[in-house]
Amino acid sequence: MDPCSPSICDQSPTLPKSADGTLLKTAPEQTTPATMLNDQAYRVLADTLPQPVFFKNLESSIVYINSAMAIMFGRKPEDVVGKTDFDLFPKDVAEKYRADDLRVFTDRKPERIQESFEFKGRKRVIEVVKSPVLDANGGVIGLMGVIIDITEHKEALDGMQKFERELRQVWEDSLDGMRITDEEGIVIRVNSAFCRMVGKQQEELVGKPFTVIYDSAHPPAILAKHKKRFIERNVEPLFERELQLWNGERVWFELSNSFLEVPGEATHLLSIFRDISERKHAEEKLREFTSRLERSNRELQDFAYVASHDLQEPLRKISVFGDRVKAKYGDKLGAEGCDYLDRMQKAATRMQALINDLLTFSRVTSKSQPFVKVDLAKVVRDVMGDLEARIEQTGATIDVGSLPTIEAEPLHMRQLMQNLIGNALKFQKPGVKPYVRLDAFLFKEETAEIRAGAREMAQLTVSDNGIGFDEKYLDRIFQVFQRLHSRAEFEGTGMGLAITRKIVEHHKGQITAKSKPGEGATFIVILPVQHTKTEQEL
Amino acid sequence: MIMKPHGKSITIIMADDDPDDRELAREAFEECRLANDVHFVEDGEELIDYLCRRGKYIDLPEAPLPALILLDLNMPRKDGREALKEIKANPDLRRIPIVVLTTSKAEEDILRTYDLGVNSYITKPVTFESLVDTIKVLGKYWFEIVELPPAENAP
Repeated sequence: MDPCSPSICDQSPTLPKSADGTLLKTAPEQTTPATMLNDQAYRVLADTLPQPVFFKNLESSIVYINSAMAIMFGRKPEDVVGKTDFDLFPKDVAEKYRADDLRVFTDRKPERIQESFEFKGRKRVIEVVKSPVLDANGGVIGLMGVIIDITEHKEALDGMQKFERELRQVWEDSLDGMRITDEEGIVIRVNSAFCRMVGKQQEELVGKPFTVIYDSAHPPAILAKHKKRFIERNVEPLFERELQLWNGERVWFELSNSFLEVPGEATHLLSIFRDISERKHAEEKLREFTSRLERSNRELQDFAYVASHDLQEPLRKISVFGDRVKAKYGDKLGAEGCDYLDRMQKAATRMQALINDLLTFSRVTSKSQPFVKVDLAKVVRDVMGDLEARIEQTGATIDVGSLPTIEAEPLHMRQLMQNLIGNALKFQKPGVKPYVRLDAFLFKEETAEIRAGAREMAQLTVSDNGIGFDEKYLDRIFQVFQRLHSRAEFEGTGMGLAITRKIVEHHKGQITAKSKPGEGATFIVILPVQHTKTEQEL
Repeated sequence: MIMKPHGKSITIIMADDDPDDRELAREAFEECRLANDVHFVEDGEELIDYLCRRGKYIDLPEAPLPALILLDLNMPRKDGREALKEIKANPDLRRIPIVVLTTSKAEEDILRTYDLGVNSYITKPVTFESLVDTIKVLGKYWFEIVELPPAENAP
């Protein structure tokens, strides 16, 4: 069946039909504006407009309101028609409306008046367009009002204006210099910070090629590069550059470029300049300082070695010649003479030990190596190998629990274990076989630095059943040259724990001890499991 | 009894700036019955003068030169390293074996002196007894076991 055949069209439900089923059609002479837009049409128009419409006469009495107006007022038309604003509004408001009306009557020109209006409990902003109504002779017979709710529109506009003000302030107050240029390199806009940075006023920059900020050596290459960016639509998002300005000043900048694209308009380039001269200067100073420190460290290390070597020489002579005297003239000296000689030689030997320990102490930081993974269990096994003779001699038992692997300097860990285990064996109770227990566990330490987060730490304990010490001496035992016992009781230079503590601190850890006299001692060492690169460099 | 292939002349020359070390060495040589075969000099300059028959040694007979040089490294005016270099550069002197006897244990010193052609590097013993032992061994090694080059004339 042909879809356009009359039978189908006839059966369509949407087209108007007369009572007998024939389609209604408009006669040609009826479809002119003059005939279609008749009174009835205008009435319908006014009444069905979504905008509130009202008519007032010259007395400002309401002649007509449409449905939309009735809804806005919240009243029926019959309650409003014939009344004036004075019947409907507070006196001061009505007076204003009347004044507006009079203006329209006398000026015979439409006016757009913005007002606020409360509708259903909400504040709306409306625009009332009041236009004079003229009779056939052009005389004013009243006015027509149309109300447009511009609340959303105004809010949007206000919002935009507020945002624009904020942005403008951001632009102006920014500490970074900002510049907008076009394809040809002409400056469109700059902020105060930029002017300050380059030492030029706004007027000297806007509308000119951006190359005016440089000295004459730069221009052609820079301009070409600028244009290239636009052609290739390619910019480096962030880079550092030292620029030589028109006044000869050299400044280090951090630069950021991005395209400002608006559809239908020319693309512009936004350049943001950050003056990093201070930072560069500080970096340079830091480099200088670091290399000076390294140099100083090396010198100190060399000095320490040479000093210890040269200090050892005379001590060696004392020992050797002491031996010669004893060998050649021992019988002539007698017991007392030999005893004096012995004491002299022992003193020299002590001094040699002290010098060696001092050298070790200074080398903890001056000769440090990079941190690597160190298996502490293996270190302890090696140390026990070194101390084998002493362990056997004293009949000692050393129990080693599970020990972790941590990032550290292998040699230092060796020294640390050697010292702690050595001490545990040394300070034994007379007649009691030494028992030493090593334990460790890992835990997480909350740090103040957000960057580091919770840090994994290893706690190491070395406990013994030896003579112990009074905890009131806790600070002393870690100090250089400090001893709690006389030379006759225990040998030693008083440096062991000082060296150990320096090692622990070098590894950013802590060391302490718990003890009671006669009840053994427990030394507690806490060390980070891992180190950041910067920590190692310090 | 140590063989003296060159007759009753000095066979060992020792350069050391430290008077104590020279004294100890002299005593050690005495214990080894080598005291008459050793001459001591105080620094590298004197050593070269002696070997070249210069300065205060100008009157010494040209032949023969010492058969062994014991050399300390750290000496004033001219140290052991410089002397070593000079001797090994001199065609008339470079055949004489040189044994460095020094307090330095520095790896750098050991490497450098072997680079310069030293025959042996010995760190000075700490006790007198071990010094005596070392000298005994040196004597036996260089004069009984080793074949020395024939006697040299001074340059």
